[in-house]
Amino acid sequence: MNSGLLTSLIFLPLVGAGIILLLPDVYKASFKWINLICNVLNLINALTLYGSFNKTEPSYQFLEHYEWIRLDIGKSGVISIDYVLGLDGINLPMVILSAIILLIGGISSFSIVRRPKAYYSLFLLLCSSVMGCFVALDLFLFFLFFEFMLLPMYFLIGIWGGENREYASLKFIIYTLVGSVLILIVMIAVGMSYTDIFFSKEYGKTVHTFDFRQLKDTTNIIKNSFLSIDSPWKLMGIPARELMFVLLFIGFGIKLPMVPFHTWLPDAHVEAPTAISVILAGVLLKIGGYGLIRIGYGFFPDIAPDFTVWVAGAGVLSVIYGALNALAQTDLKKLIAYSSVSHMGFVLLGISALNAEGINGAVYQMFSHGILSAMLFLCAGVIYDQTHNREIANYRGLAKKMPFFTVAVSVAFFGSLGLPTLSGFIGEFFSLLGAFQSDLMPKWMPVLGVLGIVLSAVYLLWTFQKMFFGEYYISEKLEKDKIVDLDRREMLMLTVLGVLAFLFGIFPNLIFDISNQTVQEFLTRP
Amino acid sequence: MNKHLQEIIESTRLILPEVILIAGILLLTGIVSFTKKTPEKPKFKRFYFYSFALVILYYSFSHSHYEALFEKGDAFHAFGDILLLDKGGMSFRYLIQLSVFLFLLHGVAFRYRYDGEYFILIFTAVLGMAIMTMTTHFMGIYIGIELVSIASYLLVSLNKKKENFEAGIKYLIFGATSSALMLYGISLFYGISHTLNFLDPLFLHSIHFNADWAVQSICFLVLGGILFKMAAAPFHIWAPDVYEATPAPIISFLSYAPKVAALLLMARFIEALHADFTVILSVIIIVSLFVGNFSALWQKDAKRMLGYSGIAHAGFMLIGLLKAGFDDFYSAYFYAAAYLPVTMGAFFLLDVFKKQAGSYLIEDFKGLGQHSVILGINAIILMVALTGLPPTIGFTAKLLIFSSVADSLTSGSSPFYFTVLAFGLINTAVSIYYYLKIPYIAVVKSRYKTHNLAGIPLHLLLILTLFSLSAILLFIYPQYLGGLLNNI
Repeated sequence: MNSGLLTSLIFLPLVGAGIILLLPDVYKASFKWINLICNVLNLINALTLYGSFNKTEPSYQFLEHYEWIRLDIGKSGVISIDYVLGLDGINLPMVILSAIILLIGGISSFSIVRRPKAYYSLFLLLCSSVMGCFVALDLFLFFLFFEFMLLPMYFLIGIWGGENREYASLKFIIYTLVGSVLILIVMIAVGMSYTDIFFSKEYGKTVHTFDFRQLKDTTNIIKNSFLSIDSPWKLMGIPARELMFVLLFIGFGIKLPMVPFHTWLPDAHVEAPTAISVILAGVLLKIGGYGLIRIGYGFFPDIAPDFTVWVAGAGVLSVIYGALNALAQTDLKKLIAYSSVSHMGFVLLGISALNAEGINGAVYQMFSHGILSAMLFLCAGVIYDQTHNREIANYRGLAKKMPFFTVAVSVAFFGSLGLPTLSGFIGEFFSLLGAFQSDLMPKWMPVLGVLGIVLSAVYLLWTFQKMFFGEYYISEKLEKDKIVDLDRREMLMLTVLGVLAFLFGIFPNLIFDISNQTVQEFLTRP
Repeated sequence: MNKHLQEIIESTRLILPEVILIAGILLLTGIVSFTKKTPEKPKFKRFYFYSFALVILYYSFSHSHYEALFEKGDAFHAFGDILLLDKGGMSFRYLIQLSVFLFLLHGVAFRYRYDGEYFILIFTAVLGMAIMTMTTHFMGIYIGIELVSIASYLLVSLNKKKENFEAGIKYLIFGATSSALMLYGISLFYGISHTLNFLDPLFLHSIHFNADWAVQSICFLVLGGILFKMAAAPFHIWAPDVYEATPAPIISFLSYAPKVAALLLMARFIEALHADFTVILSVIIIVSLFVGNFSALWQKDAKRMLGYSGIAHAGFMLIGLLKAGFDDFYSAYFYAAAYLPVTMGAFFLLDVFKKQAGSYLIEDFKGLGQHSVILGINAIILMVALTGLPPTIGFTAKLLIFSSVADSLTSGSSPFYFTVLAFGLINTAVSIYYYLKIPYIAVVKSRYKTHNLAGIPLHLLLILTLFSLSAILLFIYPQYLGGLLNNI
């Protein structure tokens, strides 16, 4: 099944970026449409993949495999890096989510007027690397896209961001770069320790492979190498394989973001333009969770159960600490950013449970958080675009002036706080269910997680009440004294996301059907 | 007597390409001496033409000559055992020839008006480096290094401005000191082994016969001379001033070619001695990385910053020599080859910036990337390549370097491997801050006035794009670099 669909997911945006770069500035007005066309095509592509996905097949589908690099490095053997793409039940939901959110981000970008050429080419570059990151099945390729995401993001925040953008973009890139350095260490260690037995015979030399399909099989580890199961190598008493797992945990935890490595997120969100915030919260954070499942738990299944308490602990800490921080915020966007930290904590909790409910729930929670956080940031953007101010205290009684907006915000808020029939409920419910059923962690951890839901209800309802109920009032200090309701573009975006939130809240099988087989297989692996 | 003469003639035939190079240098000297200098009528193009011709001649000659030679055998000795011709040296001479070519391209693209003397000195340095890549004899090493050094002192100060003299004098003093140290080390080696060739069995025997600490300290003295050429700490102090004062094409050449020639020499030395250099090397690497990267953080002048970055890169290259088996330095060679388009491209980039901004101060690059988008993109690519992030060849090189250390980590038990690996990775993360500052300021910050900026000539953008394109293409097809180096 080598249809080339996955390759086109990655390269279509690149082609779009190339076209935008080559077009002279007089066609400025067409750039956003080119961006939109690319993203619509990608969405159609992703939905086609969803439609033709075989739900009973647990392993990778739509595989595309080409030889890329065969580098003979002398006595140490041959480094083999391949261009391998494929989908299974874990990354297909992420690809669909990315296609949706990137399209919404593209529509939301219509309000960008400054330097559209650079903006849209960077935007499409970001799309391409996000897609690549999710579909790559070679560690080198994955890392390539993972790193490459930083650059467009750095410039998108750094150029089109708010007042304090330089600080925010620098903090973003340094935090995530530290994370990727940790992942790089693991990549080097894995590359040195795993071999492709079949190809090694063919070459007559040790072939070091980065192919996910080889790496998840612990029989491919070279005897007595750095990462062999009984490796004697230790650092401060920590065996090599455990150390690698910890590095991955922290590396992806920074991206997730996990407390205490989360501080870059609120800054980046507050300074980023709305569309970029939407993508950052909706898609980029998911790469952390996806990487942890795929690489951390996928390559180190023997280590992962021992760290359940740590991963779950970090998850619970993120849930509670993020929620408490959100309670204290006066800035709407910062509040939403901290709520992201809190909600992504459930993903960690679900993953660490290491049972079908937990991991399915984590995947679901990532999907649902992608949709809901995108909605939340769009809502924050609606207000900010009009008044250039995000202070919660400056607004009251908006419900009277902005009825449609109020409906949208209430869907997003109630979805986030886990109201049944909305997608947030399913994700949190299954993550917590998994955590409660898991024997690997003490029961007080999921109990604290439930407390997190209560706290999120408190800060969200509180904010909702303060901003939308009561007499209409906005502070005199604002630039505008009149506020208008959603325009057609905002209405379109929020309606689509709102419908999706309901859809996935009522029919969770849309995702579970895909992910379940893979997760089952994932868990039964030795 | 007849036999000696016979041998000299034989040896001369073996190194025919270098003989052609010497003839070319002499010819250039003759032309410079016997033509009148006419400052009002610039004749700089003529010398560029001669030099291009000489480089291409040298390249094509060594190509055909050595290809034919290595079909007969793997290694040849010439002039007794002073010169050793093998495939590794040949690969490095290609790199050096390529870097001279790029130097000339850089100079002619920006119309640097160099007189004939510059080219004579450059080619003298090339001759010195060629000797460095084909010797295992201390006399050969000394002659090679001194040829390069003396030519470089003059090249640095030939501009005859105050800062050039200052840099030149600094360079001279540090160079002379490290030469003296090296000579002292060589004489001690001769004292204990009665031979000057480090491949001589007698030499190896005496090394293993003598106390380890004594041999290590002598090695440090000898390595001083080599490390000075690499600008690795603690022999790096000259680098930032020299980089700042010297015109870009020259320093672009001097920052690359001597470094890789010295790297090969050092690799050979370590491989031949087969002694444990782990401690010395690790300390040198860690100090180089630290001094280079952390000093670069505070620099305001982009060229000076690249000087510090060069120190750090010397450290990274040396990581490739840190192997538990004291052999198989493939990753270091790969790094050296990968560094060529990246570092020379970076100097070219700075000159394009300078042409627009009027200075090398990073502050002055404001908005230039907005003025010309192609320049901005090139700045991003080249600086990302210098940092060592994908998708550029810099990443592949760093990956191989770190993999080789990780490999030693499992086979050797020394704690230094881990320390070096950790420091290398930390420094990669630190370095992104100062490398990205250039594209950040150029692309993100805007200028008050851009209308008074002239357009950038097309040929400059074209060459610059070639540099960054090769940094990306070599990432996608690293086999090409691998093919060049597989001979070693």
